[in-house]
Amino acid sequence: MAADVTRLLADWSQGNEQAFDQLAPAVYDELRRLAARYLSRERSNHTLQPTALVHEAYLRLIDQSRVEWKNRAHFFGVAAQMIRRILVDHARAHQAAKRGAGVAHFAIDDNFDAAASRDLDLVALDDALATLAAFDPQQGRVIELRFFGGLSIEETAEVLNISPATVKREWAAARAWLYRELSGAAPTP
Amino acid sequence: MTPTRWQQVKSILAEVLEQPPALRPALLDAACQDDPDLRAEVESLLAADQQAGEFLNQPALEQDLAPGTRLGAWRLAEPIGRGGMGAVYRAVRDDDQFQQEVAIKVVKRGMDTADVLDRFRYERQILAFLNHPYIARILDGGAAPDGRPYLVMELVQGTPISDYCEHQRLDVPARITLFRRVCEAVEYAHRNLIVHRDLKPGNILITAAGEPKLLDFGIAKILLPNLPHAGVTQTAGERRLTPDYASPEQVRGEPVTTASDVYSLGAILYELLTAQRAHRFERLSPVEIERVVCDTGVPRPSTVCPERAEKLRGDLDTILLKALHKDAAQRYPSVEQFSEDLRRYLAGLPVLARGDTLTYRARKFVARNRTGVVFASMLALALIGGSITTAWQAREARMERDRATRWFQGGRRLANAFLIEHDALASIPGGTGLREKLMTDALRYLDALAAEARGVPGIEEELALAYEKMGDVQGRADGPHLGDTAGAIQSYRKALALRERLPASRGAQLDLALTHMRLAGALRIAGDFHAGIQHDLNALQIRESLFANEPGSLALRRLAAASNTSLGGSFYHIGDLDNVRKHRLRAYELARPLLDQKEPTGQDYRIFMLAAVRMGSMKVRDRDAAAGLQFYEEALAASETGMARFPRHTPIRLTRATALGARASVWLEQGRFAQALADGEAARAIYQALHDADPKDARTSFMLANSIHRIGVALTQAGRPQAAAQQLSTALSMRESLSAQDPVNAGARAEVAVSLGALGDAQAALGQRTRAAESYRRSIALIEDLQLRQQANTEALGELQRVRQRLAALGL
Repeated sequence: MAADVTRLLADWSQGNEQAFDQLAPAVYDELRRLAARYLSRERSNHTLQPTALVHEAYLRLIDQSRVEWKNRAHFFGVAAQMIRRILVDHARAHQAAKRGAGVAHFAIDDNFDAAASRDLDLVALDDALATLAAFDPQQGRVIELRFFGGLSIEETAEVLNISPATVKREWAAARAWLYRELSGAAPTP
Repeated sequence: MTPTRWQQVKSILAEVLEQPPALRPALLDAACQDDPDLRAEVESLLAADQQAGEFLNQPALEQDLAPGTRLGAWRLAEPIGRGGMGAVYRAVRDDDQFQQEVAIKVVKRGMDTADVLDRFRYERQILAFLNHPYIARILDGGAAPDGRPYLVMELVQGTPISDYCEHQRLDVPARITLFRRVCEAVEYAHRNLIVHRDLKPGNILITAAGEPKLLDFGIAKILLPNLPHAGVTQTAGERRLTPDYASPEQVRGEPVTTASDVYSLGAILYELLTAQRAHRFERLSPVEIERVVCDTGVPRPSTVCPERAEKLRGDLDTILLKALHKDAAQRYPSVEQFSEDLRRYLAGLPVLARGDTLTYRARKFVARNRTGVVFASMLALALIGGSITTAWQAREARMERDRATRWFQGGRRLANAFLIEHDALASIPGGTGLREKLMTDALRYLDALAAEARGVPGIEEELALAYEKMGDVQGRADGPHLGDTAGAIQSYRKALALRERLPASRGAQLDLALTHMRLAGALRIAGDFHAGIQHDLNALQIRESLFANEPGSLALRRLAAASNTSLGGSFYHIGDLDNVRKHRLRAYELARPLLDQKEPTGQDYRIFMLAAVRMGSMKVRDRDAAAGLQFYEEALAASETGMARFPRHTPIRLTRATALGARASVWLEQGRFAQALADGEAARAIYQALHDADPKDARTSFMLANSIHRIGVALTQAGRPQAAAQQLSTALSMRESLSAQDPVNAGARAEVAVSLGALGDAQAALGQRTRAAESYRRSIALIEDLQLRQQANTEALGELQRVRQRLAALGL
């Protein structure tokens, strides 16, 4: 299994699109399984503890000794989309259960905790991201890869085949747009 | 929003975000001239960017590493902390030899791995000097299997200083006494040219024995290097310092000096004495942080802490507000003086924190002249202002001996601060010119200091390092430099004289070898090949004998390889080919295993590539072109892996260009013109990009000129003299102006001669016989002049012979 995924990943990052079709289901199944386990353990205050979700999936699926970081980046590139779906579905289910009152919280650690650990409404973010992607698909991908996939600027650049400088610019613009959208301060476009 | 409109908005937004806030309105005016809607849209997004804080910066799922994960020689146990830069784990050594426990900081995703590791490799040599009982040591570093960088540190069990003071219910004098021990450690680090940059109570632990331990020294520089504009750092979400203790200059994203640590220490003492933070933030947006830290005054300590108001009023108020001054030039000039004033307070002596007219004048001067990056050079003036104040205060005290000491320490501080700034500037493209400005002042002080330094402990090592860095800026053979070879030789000789007097520890031996190498490189540039070889041989002998004692040491293997490569080049210049073959082979043999490691460093790629290219050139010279090409291919293959792993490692690119150029000359010799031109152009593109990034760097200018020259030569041989003459004229005029800037550089003059010879060839092929003869004659005159001074290398002498024949063949 591990060797298969590793090979598919290598093929896909070399440009073989068919490899993706075989790769995606394997990654998705594994992620779903792991996510179910993690999300069911969630504490009552809805804080999704930092999880080894993707990392664990990665460890299971990939023969570590045979991949280099680029392939790793591509793996997280595939996973980002799925993590987004899993997390947003989960948040939506919570909202329904609590009649819209509950949202998934993410504790943002450290020095900034007082102000920065604002609640993030994942459902609203997902909607805004869909709107953004409609007029700028690349920016949508950048946010997805960085925020849901946890990719670095370099890795995002590798997956999207653009320069790190472009990733930085796209990220900054998209983040500003999304922030404005979610904080409700948007002027009519 | 339509896609087209959004493209327009985001391209303006990106451009504006890259500028510092002060320049933004003008840019907006220009970009949105007659489109108020467009402007409103961009401004609204700019405002959103300013307010967004840490929005989305933390990935939705942060990935912890599982206990038991192995990182290098270490096995992770449980996570013990989490900070802005990543998680910290307890870990143990994963072999049975030691039972060493350490703390490992795994940098969070999103920080660029290659950059962090590059900076770590650069810093670790400096951090290795830090050996103080109050400072937690950095032991190791590397990349985790998932690509995240990690740093291994001494594990410290202790309580943050603020909690400790509360739990122990320490009184004011006891708090100050403990705090002064912290100052002692920071002072020690400053003497070793290291600024902490992120001092806060959480980084100062007090052990069960009551001893302070400072964590994370130098880490901030590795993880959060300075960026020239605050605007850039804000949008990239990279500024994650604790705003409570960060100085105004840090918040503004300006270069950080020892004065920033003075400020942070002030903020910590403020909190220890008043139980209040010096600043209060309503929100933690970048705008709010900047407003509070840079513009809002710190309340007098006695006014915020009623129960200790009496104790704080007067001297402690004055001392704390001086340490926390918004203007770095108005703070204590050093941690030592801050601590000294606290000592005076404890002893009931009058404190020195008053009366600073001269500093005030320096501050005014800086304020008048502060624009953009020029700030850095003004900083030198501010520092000189600081040392004048010191002398003045001493005169006030009418203590002759005291004055001498203080003057001396003031100068030493300046020199140290200079070195810190020097490194900061080296990493900014275009920084070479500014470094020169700083240098002129620092050099004057250094010379004065050296005269008085005899017998002062530790100072000789410090001075040697200072001179060596000075030489690097002036004319380091293999780094960015100003092309002042004569000045570099002088500085390196001073460093060498100091180092030779130091006791012969392993570290001192290695430093000595390095100074020999640097001097050899500069002498080689100046055409003094025999003296250069002597210093190269000294360096080699030191390194090979250390390596023979520790054959497992990768660091020594690298150094021995570099020495052999360098020596091969020196022997080549004097035509001693047997020695060239010997040292190049040895270098190649030493370098080969470096790439067999699991995770070679950028430097490893470079060392190997250089050794392979040199082997190749030797084979080509020995008429074995096939073997030569094979070595070039090896170097090029290594460069591809190397560049993929370290996309921003300039030396790998440079060496790749060297390999391409070398291969091009083989193709040329074999008449494969298309291939030769393709390689030549590829090499030129690499140099051009580096030259554009730092046009004042003489080294890349030389290389760019060389690559254009080689393209010209190839075009002549390919039967395209018109195009050739154009390229060769460009190369010639570049080389002429480089040679004029650095008159001592014999190699530069030889290159002008070679250019003239090649241009003559192209002109002859075009049938312009008079012009060709003129070019040849100028070339001959230049080389003959070098010959008279015994500065002509083998290449120039060969060219002389060739050009003479060509001139004769013209039959004029």
